[in-house]
Amino acid sequence: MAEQLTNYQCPNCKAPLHFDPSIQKLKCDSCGSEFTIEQITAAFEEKNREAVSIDDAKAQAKASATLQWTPEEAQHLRAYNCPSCGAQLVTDETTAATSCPYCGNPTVVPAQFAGSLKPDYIIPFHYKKEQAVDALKGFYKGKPFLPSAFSSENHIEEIKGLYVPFWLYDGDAMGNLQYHGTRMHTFSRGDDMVTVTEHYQIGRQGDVTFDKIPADASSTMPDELMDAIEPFDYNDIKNFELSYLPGFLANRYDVDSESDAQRADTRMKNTTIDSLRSTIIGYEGLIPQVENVSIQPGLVHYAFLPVWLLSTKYRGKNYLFALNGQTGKMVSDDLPVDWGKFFLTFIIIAVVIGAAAWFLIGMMA
Amino acid sequence: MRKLRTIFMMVILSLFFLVPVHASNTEYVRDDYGLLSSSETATLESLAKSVSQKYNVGVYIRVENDYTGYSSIQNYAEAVYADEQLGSSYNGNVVMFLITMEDRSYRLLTHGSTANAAFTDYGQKQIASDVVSYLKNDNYYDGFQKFVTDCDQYLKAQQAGTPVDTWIPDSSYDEAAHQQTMSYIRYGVTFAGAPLIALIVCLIIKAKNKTAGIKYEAQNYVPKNGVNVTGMQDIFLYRTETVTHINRDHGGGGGHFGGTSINSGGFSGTSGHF
Repeated sequence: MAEQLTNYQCPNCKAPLHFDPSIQKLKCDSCGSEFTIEQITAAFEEKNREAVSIDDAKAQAKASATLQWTPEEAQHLRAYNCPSCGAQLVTDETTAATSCPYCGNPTVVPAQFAGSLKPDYIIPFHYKKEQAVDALKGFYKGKPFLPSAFSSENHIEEIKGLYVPFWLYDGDAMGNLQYHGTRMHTFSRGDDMVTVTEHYQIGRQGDVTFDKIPADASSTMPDELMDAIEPFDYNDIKNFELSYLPGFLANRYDVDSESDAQRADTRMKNTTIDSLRSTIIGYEGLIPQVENVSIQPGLVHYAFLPVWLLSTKYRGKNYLFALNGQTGKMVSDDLPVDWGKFFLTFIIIAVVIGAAAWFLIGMMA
Repeated sequence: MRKLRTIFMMVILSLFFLVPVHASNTEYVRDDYGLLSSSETATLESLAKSVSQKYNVGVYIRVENDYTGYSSIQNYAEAVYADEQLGSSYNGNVVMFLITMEDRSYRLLTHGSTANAAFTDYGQKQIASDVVSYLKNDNYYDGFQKFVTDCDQYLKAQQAGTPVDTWIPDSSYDEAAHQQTMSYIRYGVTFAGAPLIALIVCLIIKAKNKTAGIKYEAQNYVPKNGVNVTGMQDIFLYRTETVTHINRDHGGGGGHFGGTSINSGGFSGTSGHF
């Protein structure tokens, strides 16, 4: 039987390979050999083709038969055999790269990248796991109201490097803005102060080009976190190769590009208005009358972008952190607040300002 | 020829005798008591002359033993002004600081429209206070120097149209209401404003705990030269004008500047002891 998974093994010693962000190559855990993406892609091309040839429905049927899932549950599950140790892996239907829980070998599911499912681009990881952990410690600094115990007591429950599927939208937006603007100037005339207000009809038309606006294509990823870790640097974007995946997790998209398009359109519209409006200068007042923006959709690219996800637990509640695996920008869920610190700070500031105001106004009176 | 030469010599001699008479009238510093050294007198003389010519107001210093024969130092100072014809050089504009050492009295005297405008009642008291602070310590040279430099500043202010003066509120000005208003402001800022500012600061700090959020703009994804403005119209429609009357009262209530009190002889001044 052909294998549905591909283990990227060292051509020299057959030990697992993983992508090392620091050298941007695949590295053998055992003998330390290093291989370029091109070398490994060429070496495993045939193996991946064979893996894709296995009927996806067959794997689904096997999962249903082997495991006692309901038909509805089985619809969303896939079962694979680990090519290294033969153990059976059960994953959800979107898993594209994972590791065997028994032997730890990084595995890739080539079928998840077959045909139209193949991403156009990938941005490789630049941040390693250790750097992600260090970034979390630095992230706590500059947050005075964070409970002291939060950083000292809580521990990382889980950390995983994940290639998150994103849709990247190109497009053009054409805007037509109309405003009522006012300019004011004041001068004195005898014992009178004269304020002259000039009223204008202001119009701006123009178009704005957008290149690869990202929107995450995974329903399991919180949109707030994925938006907040932007921007990604597209100067470093690569054509997709499976060889970038070993050592990281990956899911294929489960939100289609049409569903995400609204998010990109909203961003294009707002940015077009901001861009054209920024050319209106010299007015004290500006009242919008018309703000029409029409979007001309362009190409939609499918890309895997690198994200480190870290989860911690504090007083029974989970907190999720996301680190941009390319730039190192970290964001998080709303973190807890030490209300004792909050009110103490409030009282100190209020008393200092209040005392200063009491003294100064007393002197002026 | 000899007769003509004699007449010429007489004219020259008469002129020679006239010059000292004129010089005595324009002596800016005279110390009949002997408080100042000759070099101090010369320095003050030069300084006073410079200020006098700069503003066309005579600045004089007189040191006497007493004012015997006069009912007050004020009368004596006016007599000095008249006897020495101090006003003749600057159209009657004079400011003089006279002291008598026997009873340690002083008189600051002003005369003439420019001098009286520059040295208001308030200004005179300020200058006198400045000078007396030195005289009390028998530091006469520095005291008189202060007098001349003060005169320079006050005349400069007058020339700029803003003579040194004080604001005197009208009797209608309601000081109690003003105090009450200030009291309300004081309580308001202290017990409402300060907590509000503190709350805003704390909320800003608290916002640091929230770093995730949906993006609503895409400025990072606009390539260079990606914005193309094709039309710009700024069309003037009409103009409106609002007129607000300016209340030129000083401060929060009505009132007036103190000005200068001038007697029937055209003199003004202030007196005291040091």
